[in-house]
Amino acid sequence: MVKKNKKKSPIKETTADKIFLIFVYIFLITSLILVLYPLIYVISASVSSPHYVNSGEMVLLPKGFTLDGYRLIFQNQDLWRGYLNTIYYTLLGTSINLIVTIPCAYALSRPEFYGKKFFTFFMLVTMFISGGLIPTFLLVKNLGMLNTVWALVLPGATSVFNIVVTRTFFQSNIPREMEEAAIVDGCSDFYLFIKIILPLSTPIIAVMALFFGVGHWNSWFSALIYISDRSRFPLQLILREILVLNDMFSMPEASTMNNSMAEFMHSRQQLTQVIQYGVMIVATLPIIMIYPFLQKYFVKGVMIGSLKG
Amino acid sequence: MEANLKTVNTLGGMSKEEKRRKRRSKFKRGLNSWQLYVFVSLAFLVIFIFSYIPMYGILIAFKDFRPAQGILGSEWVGFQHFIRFFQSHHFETLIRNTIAINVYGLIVGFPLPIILALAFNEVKDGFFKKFTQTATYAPHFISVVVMSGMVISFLSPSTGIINHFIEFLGFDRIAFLSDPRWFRTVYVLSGVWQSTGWSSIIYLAALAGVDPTLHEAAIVDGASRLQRAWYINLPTILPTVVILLIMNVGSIMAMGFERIILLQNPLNMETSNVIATYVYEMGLLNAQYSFAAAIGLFNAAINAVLLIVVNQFAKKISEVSLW
Amino acid sequence: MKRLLGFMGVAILGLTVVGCGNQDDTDEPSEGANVTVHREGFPIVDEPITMSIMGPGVGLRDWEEMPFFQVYSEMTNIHFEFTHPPINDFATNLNLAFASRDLPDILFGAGNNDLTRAMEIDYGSQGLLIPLEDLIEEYAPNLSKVLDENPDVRRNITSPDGHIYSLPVISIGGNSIWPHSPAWYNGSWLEALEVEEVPKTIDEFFDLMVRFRDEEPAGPGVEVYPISDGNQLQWLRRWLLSGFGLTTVGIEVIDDVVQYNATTDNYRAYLEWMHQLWEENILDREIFSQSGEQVKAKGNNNQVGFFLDWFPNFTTGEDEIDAMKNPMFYPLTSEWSEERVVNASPGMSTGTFAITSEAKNPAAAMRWVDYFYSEEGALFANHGPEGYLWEYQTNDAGEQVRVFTEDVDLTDTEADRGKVTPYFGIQAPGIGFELPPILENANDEPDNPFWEWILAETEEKITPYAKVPFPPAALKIGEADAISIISTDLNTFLTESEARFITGVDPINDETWEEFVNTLESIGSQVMVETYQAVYDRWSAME
Repeated sequence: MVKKNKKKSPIKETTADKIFLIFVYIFLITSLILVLYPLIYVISASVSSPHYVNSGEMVLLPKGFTLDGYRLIFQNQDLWRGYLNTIYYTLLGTSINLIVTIPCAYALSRPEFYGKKFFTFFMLVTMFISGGLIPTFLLVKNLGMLNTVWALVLPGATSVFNIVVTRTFFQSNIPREMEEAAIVDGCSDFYLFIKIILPLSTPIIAVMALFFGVGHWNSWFSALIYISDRSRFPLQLILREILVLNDMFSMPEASTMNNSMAEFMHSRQQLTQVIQYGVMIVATLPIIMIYPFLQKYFVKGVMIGSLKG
Repeated sequence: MEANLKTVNTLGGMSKEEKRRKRRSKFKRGLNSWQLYVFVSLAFLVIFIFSYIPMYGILIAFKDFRPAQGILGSEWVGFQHFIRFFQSHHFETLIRNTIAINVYGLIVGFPLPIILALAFNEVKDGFFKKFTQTATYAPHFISVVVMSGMVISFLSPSTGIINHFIEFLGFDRIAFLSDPRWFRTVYVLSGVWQSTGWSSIIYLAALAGVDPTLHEAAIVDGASRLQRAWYINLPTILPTVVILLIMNVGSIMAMGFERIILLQNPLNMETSNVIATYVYEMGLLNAQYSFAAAIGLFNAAINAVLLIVVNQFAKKISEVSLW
Repeated sequence: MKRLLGFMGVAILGLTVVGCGNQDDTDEPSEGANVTVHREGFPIVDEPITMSIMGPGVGLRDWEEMPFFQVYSEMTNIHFEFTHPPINDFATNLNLAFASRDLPDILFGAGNNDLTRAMEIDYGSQGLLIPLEDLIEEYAPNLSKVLDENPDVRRNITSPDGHIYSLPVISIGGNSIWPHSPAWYNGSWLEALEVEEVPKTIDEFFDLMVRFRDEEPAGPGVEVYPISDGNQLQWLRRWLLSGFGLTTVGIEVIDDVVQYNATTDNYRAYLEWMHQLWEENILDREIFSQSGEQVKAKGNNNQVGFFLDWFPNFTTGEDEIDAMKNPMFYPLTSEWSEERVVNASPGMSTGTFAITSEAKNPAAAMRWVDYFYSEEGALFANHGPEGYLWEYQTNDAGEQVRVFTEDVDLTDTEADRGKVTPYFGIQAPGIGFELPPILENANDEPDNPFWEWILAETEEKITPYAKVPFPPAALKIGEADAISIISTDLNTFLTESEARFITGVDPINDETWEEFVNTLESIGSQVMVETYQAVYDRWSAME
């Protein structure tokens, strides 16, 4: 009998269960409030007058409503190109990440894979020993990847952490019997992987897509050192520039300061804090919206029917 | 039958013939799983090219690096930088603070995402669940600078809301940021706040692999929700938990400096001075690249040792381990 | 995020270079190497040449599109390929460029924070930066003139090996003597308390602060902070230290003898005095933990009596005319220091312009930059060519004045200026002096009362007592190595200790003081003194 994925069980919940549930809800609601307050604060701060934010008078709702911060941000023409660039880099980068990581993790999860230990060790060593920035930079340069998208997506194509986590998922969620049955049936590894394993792995693929995607979306350092063409800058780098421009002279030292700078800084510093919040919202809102769509892949019951089939 | 024979022989040590046969079958197996090799080939290539080829850069920790001379041309000084670090006036403070903050962070921050994921699991799907999940992982995206600004603002003795709240409850205001005794708590809790929701995602995915038939059977047997969570859900995600625990312990010495520097001030330095901020000042501000590299290597060495220890431990206790 | 930070950590610890491989070209016949460079006048070269230039970008506009570069290129016949990574992380890109030998011809506007003296000397000695002194003599008449008129500057930009590796930006006149933001008294409070003169001794200062605390100068019931600061006293303390005869907390040279100020009894007296200020609730209790923005908010609410800022209205929130009633800090005297003394800026910074080994036409590059050391050139550099930010108009009196052009947003002229020239927010080569103003309307008064007032305050309160704590002399590589780790350790220890002494966490008595001094010495304050003495002696001996 296949049950529909409804949580309403025909068996009544016991009192113990009800109390348990109440605690669970209390816990979740408390967490929600603890998390929600600062988030609302950030949104309000991005449209409030900086004076009220800094003096602590703005507590929850916007005070001294102003859209100046956003105006300044969106005035920047490079911003929109930054969005486009980032979307491109994220899509390309995440795809490459998944293609590199998932099969590798699967292979490592198969106990009979000869060389498993060697390869695991090979991977883990890189977590501790790293050559550093300049050898990597030189390598990228010698491979001719400077100022191209490849410098952004290839060096970081693997993440040992993610491979390990994915491998663990495969190890604990894919029943051995199924694999062995398939092998006995004469399936090749490729077939097994593509037709059977992958459909069962949607949760982990979703999670990895999220992890890698967010990683690409937030990255700016690689672009900083490898990309010289401003028209190829990702969003985060552009936003960083905007912030810097307005935060440039927070140190009162005179070496870079002179009167015109001081005037500029003064007029902009009023907005700096506000802009910081606005910048963050502009940068992350799209990504936060993605989660609800991925969430459906985490739903329970994905495994039903796999054993029976 | 055959298996028994094999075991008996192993007890007494394998004969040469046995060993040869084993090797051959292993090789055959290896050959058979050639497709699996294809699976790892891409990752292997990327790691080899981008992690192993540049690895000679690690030599910088043992040299007196002069950018103009390059690594190979710079003078070899052996462990000089390490010794200088150990002899530094602040050495003990740095180590103590780094370990204390990280251990504290691990103890508080590791279980919470698990609990959160389990809690979400009990709730039925719907708007509340989706909304709360999205809200809890949103803090992960708040930039370090904004985050620290908020912490400083909320905790201010004169204008911060947390102190308003404390006063409201009848207590005295607390100077969270200028009291070294509070720093660790502030740092850890703000970190937990920021990362718990995001970290729970991986456990949620793992929970998706829980077999519902097990739950059905348990309900029939009269198990309460709590019991089901404890005896079914938790064990299912245990491998993920263990692996993540091992990885976290294995990075205990690695710590970003940005968040600490933003929350650090002259009054709390006693507990807020950590290796990462020291390296930052040395490396970036004083261009002591070799020194900074040596400290980085020192951290990595400690991490590696810890990783090995915890991994062995995990092997003994559970079936799950990194290798 | 952790990964990102990890990357940063790796970046810091992993600056390395391939020793083998990557030997660069250098055997190709250089394009334009035999080009004639005119010793004066424009164009500089007859046939157009192209050079590569790198500097920090501020993000307002690409250098390629700036009228400054476009017009000047036509004038000189020198064109550029531009690289300008964001200023915030410029150090990373600069270091990468050196380490990977991927250098441009010219480094422009790096400043001495990114292209430090130590780097200059190191790279110069290895040949990555070329010596400039001969080029200056032959191809830089304006700069030579400036150096002749200011022999100290020549001394300051020369490295221990006798070469000059980078050109400075020199500030003359105006408020260039400010080492950092000055300190100000809240004028409206002084008025409310009917105080005519600002304090001249530390006792007068103390008394005034007590009055600030007690007599409700901001109105009844308003919480006041007689002294507040958003930089953990880092700069404000220098003004207060002057009352004890010291201009800084670290290395200072007094009468040709170098000392480390934190070990002196003057410093102890300063700490005890500050501790009193803390006990008496005159120092803002949050002074060590609050942010600059929080202080500004307090200042805007008229809650601060004595504060640090570039111009007083930045903290008080008033407009410039009203701001003139906030008097500047007058250096104090005490039993420890009977003569007034204040910290002053040496008036120049190095690292603004350097020519690398890649340059095929160093002579042309030198002539290119020399223009900015003349008055006309400085004007061109800072305000851009005519017709973009400003234009000439004739006013009613028949005089030619400079007025902002139509396109300029009068509420944000600086932002527009930043789109016209790169001399904005970076330390770029040239001399900075008081430039004639650009008016909004042709008939506006060119005089700015606020600015006149600032100059007057500076003249009265800083200039007569100004002293540079330690001249901008360069350390040799060996010397820099010896003290780099020591200086970081000392700074950390000092910052922490000072805060603890002032707030009373650690009491100040003979015992604790001795322990404090001993710790400083064990960390290496004596080594610092010896090293800097050698540097100073060498510097004085140079002519």
